[in-house]
Amino acid sequence: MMTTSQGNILIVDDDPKFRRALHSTLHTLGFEIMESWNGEEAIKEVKNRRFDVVLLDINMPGMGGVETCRALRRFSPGLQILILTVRESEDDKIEALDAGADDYITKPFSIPELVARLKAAVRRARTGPPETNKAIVVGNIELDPERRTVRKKQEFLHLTPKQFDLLHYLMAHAGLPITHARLLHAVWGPEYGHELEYLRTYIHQLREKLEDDPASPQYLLTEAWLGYRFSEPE
Amino acid sequence: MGAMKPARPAKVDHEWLRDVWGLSRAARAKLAVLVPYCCSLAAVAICTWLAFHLGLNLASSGFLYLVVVVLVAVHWGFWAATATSIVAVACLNYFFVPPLFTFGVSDPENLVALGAFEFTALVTSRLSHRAQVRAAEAIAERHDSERLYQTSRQILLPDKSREPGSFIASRVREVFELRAVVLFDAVSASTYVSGSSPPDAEQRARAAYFVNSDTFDSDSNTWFCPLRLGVRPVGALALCEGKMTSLMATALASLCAIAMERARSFEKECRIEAARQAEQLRTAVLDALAHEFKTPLSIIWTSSSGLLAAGGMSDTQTELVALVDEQARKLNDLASQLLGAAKLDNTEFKPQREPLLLSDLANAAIRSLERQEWRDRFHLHIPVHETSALADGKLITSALGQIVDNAIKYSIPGSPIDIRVEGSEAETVLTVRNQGLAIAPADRERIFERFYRAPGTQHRPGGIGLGLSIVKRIVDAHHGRVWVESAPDSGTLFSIALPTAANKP
Repeated sequence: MMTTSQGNILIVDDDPKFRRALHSTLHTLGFEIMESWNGEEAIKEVKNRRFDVVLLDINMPGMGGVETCRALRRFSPGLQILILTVRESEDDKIEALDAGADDYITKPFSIPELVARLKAAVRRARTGPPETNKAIVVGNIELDPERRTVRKKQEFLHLTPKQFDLLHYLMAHAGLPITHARLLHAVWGPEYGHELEYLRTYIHQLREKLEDDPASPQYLLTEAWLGYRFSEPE
Repeated sequence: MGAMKPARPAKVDHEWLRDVWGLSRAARAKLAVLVPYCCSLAAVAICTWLAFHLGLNLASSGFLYLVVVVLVAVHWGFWAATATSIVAVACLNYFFVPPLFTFGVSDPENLVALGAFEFTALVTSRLSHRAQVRAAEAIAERHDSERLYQTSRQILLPDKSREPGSFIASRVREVFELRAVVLFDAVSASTYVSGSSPPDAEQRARAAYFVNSDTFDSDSNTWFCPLRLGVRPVGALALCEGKMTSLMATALASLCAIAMERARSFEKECRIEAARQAEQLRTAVLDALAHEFKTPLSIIWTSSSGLLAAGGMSDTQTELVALVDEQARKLNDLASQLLGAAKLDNTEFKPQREPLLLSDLANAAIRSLERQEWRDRFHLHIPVHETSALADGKLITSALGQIVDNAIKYSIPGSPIDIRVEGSEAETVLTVRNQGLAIAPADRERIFERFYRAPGTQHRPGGIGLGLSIVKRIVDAHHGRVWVESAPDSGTLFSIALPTAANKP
């Protein structure tokens, strides 16, 4: 059953039964798995070994998920952090994403869903951050940072500089949820963070230009009460 | 209490008359009327004897008689004093005015003196009698206020172990020394009787409530007063056989009305508190249960979907594991729903409202659907300039998720489902229209009740009749409205209206 490793995963969760279920399943599916039962252990593991992805539970006794996430991010910038949340802890989720987590998945989840996320994360971990000047292509949309042009199905779209910056940031992190605060920081500047109305207006304008049906967007998705995600076509 | 009782001469039963002559009560009462007159005569006789033997002149003896007249007036009233003064004038004339021992008057000066004496005696007795009456009235009034105060103190301190109606009736009867008290409570339509009341008293108390005016029945010596809160009658009071002024009866009725109302609100408060505690307990239990269920369920689901993803099983094995997978997921959804409902029931629950676009939330709700084929059935129509609604993003998305889920469950498979957002200045309305099972008019209100499932849907999969009650609870907490329209040909329309950010209530 074992083929070449799909990726090195560290599972961090305080529930041993949950770790066991995940461990066996993911191992069978070709991932290399290590386990930690709390944040402190996880940090030790990450210092000793190289992982592609850390699967991090957000509700843990002791050093919580958000704290762990912040610590991991400090000494391992390329590491992909996928947080495990429950439906009732949206605020923690935003906090963790702002603390440097790359993506999240809500418990309970189906294994195919998790595997898809893990594979995408492993790919990102192995390819590293996208080159800043290289054109980004997602689905029918092509963005050229150097020439500052955007094309949809080869047709040029006219974007204002702010619209372009916003789209650039979202496409550079395609597939990942970006919190409102992070978007505002990145596009408007560090002194911004609460101006949701700006974002809403610009996203609305971008959808008008980018989407086939702006009412049911395919690319610029709203992550309810969290932020936005530039969706990769399935 | 005993010390406060003033002597009441009219009530004195002259028992010595019975002891001496064995007279009946009626005869004694008749004889008792004569007692003041006899005593007055005796007093005049003693004065005459004293004055005559001391050899007092006309003026001095006149003053002596005056003293007797005033004392009689103070003690037995004006008529006894008048009679005494006439006898006194006769005695003065007979014993002290020349010619002595005759009723003749030789000197006209003496005639003037006798006339002046009679006049003075009459005026003085009148005045002193009046003062006496006033004093007695004042004492009676003070006594009544004291009793009213005492009653109020007793009946306004609720005694939890006794029913307020009968407690109030018995306290009033005891304090005011009445033969019977009947209290009719119109709110609970019950009558409380203390003491032995006349047979028709209850009936007439009720009548006083309906007529809403005070009446006094002199035959049975009974007051019938309606109990009023403001101007609204809430019951009636009958006060049987006691000394009671109109003012007193009315005051007592007001007091009883207040005491009854107080007892009622006290009881209501207790009930509300008990209900609140029960609700809290229920919420806590539900919350704990759902949490305890969720952890193992999520592990079961992870394992079952893991088994399926790993593959390598026979068809039967795959089918069985798929069944476990599906049911685990369903149980998990139910646990989430229960948990959500418990959270909403919490009295401290308050939505965190902010201006949001309902179309965003609807999109999120659609995207969270499990299957692409379901997601593809939805068509969203939004205005060019959509106004933001004041909404708690999580809660409204979960409410929309429920409606979207229902739209799939109860519609013709594969048929399109339209979501439309329309806004006015005051509110934003989101409607979800699907084709399929029409909802009977009688069910349209009831489907929002907890655990209610419309006839014909009980055997459909997935649902315990909690979803729409949660939706309603969430929308209510937003000061919004939710309703359903349904017709066999035009389909079923669920609408949610939320106040806009400009119309913050």
